[in-house]
Parts: sequence; C-alpha cells; structure tokens
Amino acid sequence: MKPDRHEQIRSLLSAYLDEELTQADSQRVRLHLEDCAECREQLAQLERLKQLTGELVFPDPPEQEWEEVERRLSVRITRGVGWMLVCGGAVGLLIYSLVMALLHWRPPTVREILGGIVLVGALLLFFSVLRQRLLELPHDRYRRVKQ
Amino acid sequence: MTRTQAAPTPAAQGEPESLAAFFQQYKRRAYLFALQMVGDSDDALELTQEAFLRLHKRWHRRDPSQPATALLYAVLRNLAIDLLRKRAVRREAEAEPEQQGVARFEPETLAGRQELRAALWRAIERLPEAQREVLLLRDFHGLRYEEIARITGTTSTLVASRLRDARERLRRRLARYLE
Repeated sequence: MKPDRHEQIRSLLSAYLDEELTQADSQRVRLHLEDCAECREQLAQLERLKQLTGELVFPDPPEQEWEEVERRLSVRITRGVGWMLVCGGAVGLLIYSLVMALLHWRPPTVREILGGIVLVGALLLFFSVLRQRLLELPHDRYRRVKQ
Repeated sequence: MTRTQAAPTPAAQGEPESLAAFFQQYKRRAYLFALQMVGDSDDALELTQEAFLRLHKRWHRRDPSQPATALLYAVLRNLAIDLLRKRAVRREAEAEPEQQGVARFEPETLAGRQELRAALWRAIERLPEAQREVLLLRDFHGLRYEEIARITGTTSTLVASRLRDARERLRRRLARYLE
C-alpha cells in the first residue's frame, strides 16, 4: 500500500465518521479500511471519542434563573420599543409644528413656547442617542452576520 | 440536565414562527453552547440573554429560508469570542498567570465525574479556539459542516480540516483511555 494514499485516506476518517464525504470518497475509505488495520483502529478510536462526548452531561440553570432571564429580556425589549415610539413621535410632532407654523404664522403663545422647549429637549436626547448608535455601528460585528 | 448527544439538524426541524416560542425551544441549547464556550454559568446565562435580545432586533428581517438557529449560534459565538478576548486582556493587564482553555468551568461539575470524561472535557478546553468551536458545534450540537461553515464564516472544507485536527489532538491526548 502506498504511504501517501494511506495518509490521504487517514485524513478523511473524521469526515467519514460524520457522513460528510461524497459517495465516491466514502467508497474509497471503505475499501481502504478493509485492508488497513491501522486506519480501522484509528476510526474505532474516533468513534469512541464521539460516543464519549455524547455521554457528557452539563448542569442546567434552575427554572427561576430562566424566569429572571425572560423578565430582563421583556424589560429591555419594551424599553427599546418605548424609545422608538418617543423618538418617532417627537420627530413627527416637530415636523407637524413647523409646517403649521409656516402655514399659519402668528406670535406663539406661552403654552406653545413651553411645548417647544420640551420638544427641543426631547429632540436633543434623540439625536444624542442616534449619534451614539451611529458611532457604534462600524463596531457592531453582528450587522453582517449571515442568516 | 442537558445531555450532549448529537441533536437533529436544526434546518431540518420546524422552527417556531414567534421569537417567544423559539426562545422556549432553543434557550437550553443556546445556554449549553455559551457555557461550553466561556466555561462559566453566570456568563453563559448573560450571553444567552444578550443573544436573544440581538435576535429580537433581527427577527422580522431575517431570511426565512435559513434556520434562525444558525443566526442564534453565530451571535452567541461572536459574543463568546468577545468575552474570551476581554478576559485575556484583563488577565494580561492584571498580570495573572495564563490559564489553559476557558476559565472557570471545572470538569468536576460534569455529572458522573468519571476520570475519562473529566479528562475529555479538559482536553476539549485546551483545543485552539477555532478547533474547539467546530468540535462543539458538530459533536455536541449536531450541526452539519455546511451549517458550521455559515456560522463561523468559513468553508465546509476548512470546517472538515479543523475538525480533523481537533479530533486528532484529542485522540492523542486521550490515547491511553481509548486503547
């Protein structure tokens, strides 16, 4: 048996075990195994390894830990939706106010001035959050995660 | 307890439509992968939570023809790698002696406590990161090479080669138990 052919087949044993070889390669490995005790032994060891990993048992967290995770997830998701609504509403309100002010110009009332101050404050908050998100965007490795 | 038998391929399973149902179905598998990657149960829970939160942001934009589990594993993997690198930087900054593999998950916490299983887990922990992740995804989570390649951003050929190297290392390290 040629040593290079033996090495080549040996390198296929792991994928053979996982049934990830093409039909032709699987057939080549099967034929080689019939004649090569060393490769049969190595395959048996790989099978044993795989069986052992299947026997490892890991502790699950207690159910109350999962409840806590769910609670925290729910809070963070709700907060995200809340921010989105606040920011969207603020932008809509600003555009509407500007359009109305341009169409029906008159000196603003005290109520409108105070409302405007609150709106400007909310917009500043919005743009500060938006700026932070945009700055972080190039470092967000998950945006390119393939689905 | 979570047994690490090879699970059916996620792509072949019907995945739930809603994220809430998906969370219930896959939270333990996600936690197990995070635990195997970072070796600490508190960190693993934290990563699981963060992964589902990121999944929530992409849930309605994801490609429905692709399994959401692939996205879940990809996000978890990246979060785990980030955490492991931060740990390494912290260790370096604090001049702590370098530890082998992932930090605090002791083999004694494995059920059974048999010497061989403990030795197996220690050997897995000591694998290089790139080999360890493909071994975990294949032998503990039952993913196909193509799915692992998609999750790790490589090719099926590279997955096969890393897996072969990982198993070869394990086989050599555990030779006395396997004979």
